Amino acid sequence: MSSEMRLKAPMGLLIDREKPLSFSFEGKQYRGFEGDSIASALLANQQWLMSRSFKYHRPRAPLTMAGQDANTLVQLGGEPNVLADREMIREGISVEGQNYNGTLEGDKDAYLGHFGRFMPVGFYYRSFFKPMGVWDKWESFIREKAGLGKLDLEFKPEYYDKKYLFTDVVVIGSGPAGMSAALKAADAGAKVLLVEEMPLLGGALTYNRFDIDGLQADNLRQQLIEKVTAHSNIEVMTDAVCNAWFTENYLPLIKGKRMYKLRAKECIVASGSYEQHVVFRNNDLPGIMLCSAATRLMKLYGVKPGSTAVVLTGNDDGYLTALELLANGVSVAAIVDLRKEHPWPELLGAVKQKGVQVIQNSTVYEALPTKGNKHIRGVDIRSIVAEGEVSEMATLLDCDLLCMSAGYMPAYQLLCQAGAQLSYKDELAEFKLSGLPQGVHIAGSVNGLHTLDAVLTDGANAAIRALRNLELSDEAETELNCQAKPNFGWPIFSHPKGKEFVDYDEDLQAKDIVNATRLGYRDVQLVKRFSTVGMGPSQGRHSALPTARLVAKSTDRTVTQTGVTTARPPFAPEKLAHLAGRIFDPRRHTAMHHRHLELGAKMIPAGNWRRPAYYGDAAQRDRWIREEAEHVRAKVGLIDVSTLGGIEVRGPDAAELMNRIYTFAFLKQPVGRTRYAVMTNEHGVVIDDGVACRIAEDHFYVTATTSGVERVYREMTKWNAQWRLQVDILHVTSAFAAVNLAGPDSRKVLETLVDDVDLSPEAFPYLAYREGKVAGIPARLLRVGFVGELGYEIHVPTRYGEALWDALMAAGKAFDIRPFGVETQRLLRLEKGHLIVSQDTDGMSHPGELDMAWAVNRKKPFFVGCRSVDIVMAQPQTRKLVGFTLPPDSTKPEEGHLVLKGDKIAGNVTSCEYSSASQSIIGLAFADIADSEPGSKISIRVDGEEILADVVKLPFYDPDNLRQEM
Amino acid sequence: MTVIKPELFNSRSFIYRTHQQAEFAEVAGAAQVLSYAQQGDPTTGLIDLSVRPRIGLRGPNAEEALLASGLLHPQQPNTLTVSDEGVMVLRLGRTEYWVLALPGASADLDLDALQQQLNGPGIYPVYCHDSYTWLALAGENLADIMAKVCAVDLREESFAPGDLVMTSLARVGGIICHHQMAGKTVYSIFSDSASAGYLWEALLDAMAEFDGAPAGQNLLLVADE
Repeated sequence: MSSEMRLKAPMGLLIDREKPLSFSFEGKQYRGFEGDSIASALLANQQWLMSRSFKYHRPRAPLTMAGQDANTLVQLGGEPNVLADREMIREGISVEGQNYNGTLEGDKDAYLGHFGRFMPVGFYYRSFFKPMGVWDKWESFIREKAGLGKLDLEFKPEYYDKKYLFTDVVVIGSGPAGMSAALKAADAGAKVLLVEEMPLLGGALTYNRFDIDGLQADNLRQQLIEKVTAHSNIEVMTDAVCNAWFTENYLPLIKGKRMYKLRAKECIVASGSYEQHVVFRNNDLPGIMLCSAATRLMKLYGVKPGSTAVVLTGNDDGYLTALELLANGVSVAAIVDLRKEHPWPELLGAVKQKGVQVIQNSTVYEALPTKGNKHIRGVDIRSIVAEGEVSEMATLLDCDLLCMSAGYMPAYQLLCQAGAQLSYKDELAEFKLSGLPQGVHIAGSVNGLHTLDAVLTDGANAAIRALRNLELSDEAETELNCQAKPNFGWPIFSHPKGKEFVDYDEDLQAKDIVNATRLGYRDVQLVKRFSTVGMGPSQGRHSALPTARLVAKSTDRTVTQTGVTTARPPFAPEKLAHLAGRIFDPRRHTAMHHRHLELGAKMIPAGNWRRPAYYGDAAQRDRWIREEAEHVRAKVGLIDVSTLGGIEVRGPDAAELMNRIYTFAFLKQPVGRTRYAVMTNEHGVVIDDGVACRIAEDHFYVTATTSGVERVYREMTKWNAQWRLQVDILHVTSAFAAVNLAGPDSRKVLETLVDDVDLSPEAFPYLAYREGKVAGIPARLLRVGFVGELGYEIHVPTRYGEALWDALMAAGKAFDIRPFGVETQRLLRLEKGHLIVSQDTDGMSHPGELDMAWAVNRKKPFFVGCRSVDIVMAQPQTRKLVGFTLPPDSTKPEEGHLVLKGDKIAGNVTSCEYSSASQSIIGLAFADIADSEPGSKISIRVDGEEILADVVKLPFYDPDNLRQEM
Repeated sequence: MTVIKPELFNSRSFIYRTHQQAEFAEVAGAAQVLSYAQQGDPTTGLIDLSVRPRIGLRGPNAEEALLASGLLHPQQPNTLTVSDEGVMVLRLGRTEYWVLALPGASADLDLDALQQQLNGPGIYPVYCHDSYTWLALAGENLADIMAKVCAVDLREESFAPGDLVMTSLARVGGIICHHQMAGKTVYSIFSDSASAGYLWEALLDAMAEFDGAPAGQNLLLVADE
């Protein structure tokens, strides 16, 4: 067990010292407190090394302590790439380092750092593309060396979900600007959601020192939090990341295992800014961190970051950090100020009074490492003689901590996604955002303001703008003034030996960026893609600004002209589980669904319905289909056809609408009769079919295919929006449960259950429609012939569907009734030569190709697609849907197999099955028009074998329709 | 005495099998869940009202017919009324109306007879009893629960009692109606009857974090103490 080093309260805002926790890192046990991040607990135990860098396997330790860098990526159990400075410890968790060969401490691949000159930027693009195929040999080696973390392939998915949220005003970021904005908006009556990435409110107030005495931040934070938490109009959401901005303030918020999808009327982004590092040799050694990381460690976790510190700064904040370090027992060897000018006199006096040496106009030129680059042991300080250039004379200082601050980069990502533009202000050496869309506002340091007074005012001003849009206030904004200039213009100091890192994630040095431009990649977007700068987990939070400066200088342009790369969502690492979690996958069941399950049906999807394919185990599929088909032909069968689409067309113009929508004639269709209905689209292509029942002069009930009914309904309503016929169109698919009772004994079965309809062939002939009661259930009865036997479709209100099935199965028992499935139905209709739209048709099939000219009324003036049908049918026909047979012992083609004409593709098989009724393999296929006459042969390619099938006249079964018209 | 079970009736709820532990009563020739046995009333309950009587009508003359029938007429599209007799009338869009018998509705209410009465040119029946399942979500945290399945803002300030929305929930089309019963907030949900089982599970899943549970119609009749 390692020793801990904790500062006394009030340091350690996040930790609960009464709740110690144990965990392991690299197999060694450590202790921390509830509220500790993995990184803070490890640093408290003097365990600095947490990971190895991506390319050179250099030792790495926390840089930001805020989850903004890749240095703290660790493996947490089965989960790779966990941010150790954001993930809180829990009792018993097991953490490992990543990206090392052997042990984290003794990584055998650390030698790669010595070969940096052989791995220049883009080296793998240029090295492994020739000779042909060489990449295949290198790939596994490179992937092994470059991979991050290990995936747990035994991982069991956990429960993630999503939830919508709504608010008047969302404020992203709860720093002083965010809380000020939230309070202002809430006071005016707006409902406010305040979103904070960290576990506690306050933003920079939780860790930054704003005054010499170090009191201002704490006092202000407490005041603001008190007001915010007491305000009934403010809802606070901590530990939540706003991961993107989408049009009209549609914002994904990630919190724990849930993604909130927020719709906000107004959005105030007070996302703060990222402190920037200084680019010098070995600036990645453990023990080198941003000033804000050191203050976070002390104030949030009570961890003393070192014994002797050097502060390297380009602004006054470095001095305040030095005071904070001193207050917590860290000696400060020197403040190395990049600037020539002094800070404000009181601040300078305060640090000097404490005996701190201040070195102006100087930089750390090189950090000196302990053995194996495991930690910083000292710094080589040089005075700055020109932009990026230093003197020969070095001052060496011992230290075990280097805190640095080169300035700030606005957290611009969300705002740029909203359409804002970044422009570089040379006088401030800082990017500014402008051009925000309506409903999006900016406040605080992201807006380039750095003094507390200005930030608070800016927050209130942003709220005033939002309130104005909400018509809740007409207050004028308060003028504000901020003189702070925290950014140093050129904090980049190249070293002949390199390792001055611009991008820690990708191990990119200053020369890598410059070299990319020299290779011709002048555009920053190309530099990014060639060098991979900004493509790592930190997504350019620290590399974007130095890269822009380097590219600008190297290409003789301004930083504004150079710009930064596009900041696409997600803003922070997002798990696929957040996107995939609790996806809704609706499924539909018919009223008889459970009866099918009880009967052992093999269920298959049909759109979002589930339908019985056949009844029995899948291993004997062919047997069940054959037996069920034979049973329907010989006795009686029952199939659930509830999934058939249903549409009611009612009103004085009902017949006129039917006549215009479908190809057949419907104006004179007699009441009590059904008629086959084919629908074509405007291109003359057959898109659906069904049966139209005329219930009354002004009332049609028309069926449609299971998967096509939505389209048919849409087409009908769309067309009638133009036609303005007096008609009501109602989608009734779910309103009716339906069965097809089919087979020579079907009438006998039905007769036992119906006493108010004359079922005799004379009174209720083929294609007739009747209404009555079946087993006491109100029913619509249709004499149909889809499967080619005497048959009745029985449609009843859905609530009665199961009872209808039960009654028919019970009544049919005496006639040996048997249920049959949709696969069997497909065989039976195939035997009758009936096509299924979409299975036996495609996006080009016109009625002529399908031999359905009989279903097209050419005398009526109009139907949808009539002109196209005329045109395409007047063209020389090139193909046709034909029936074919093969001997029973032939190889059976499958649907989709190609039909060949010489060396050309003539069509494909659309349906094929063995038919015991025909004692042969039967099928439908598109064939060349020259081969479409019965007696022709078509060649079908089946798994490389070409087989010749006989084209025959349809149907295959009962050509005189004697059985269905019984 | 015969124990009432759903399978004793020809008319059945689309999800009656999920009510294994329930106590039923006959309602309009079907079995309606009164309560779940061995369970106190949950703070938030999901109740299957699918078998309860309801009729629908639409068309250019539907409004006139509805007014003539004396029913409490929702003045605005996408609103509803609830009468003292326990009749809820939904106005869906401009010209469609549903009339529903809430739990506890007057015994004299005969919706079949009303359907016959609301007949004539320009009036077309809507088969809302069979096309739609009727689920009621009652109790607390309803807006939070619905926010897990529906993109519409259903918080009280945006969705007051008497409002209804036609939208999508859990990717299924549906109608959500806000009303009160026995002092409780109730969202009556009407959705594709074929998806009833799916939606029932999706809503229970959404309710789980709020300790929601299946309940019977008694939850809508008894005020919390």
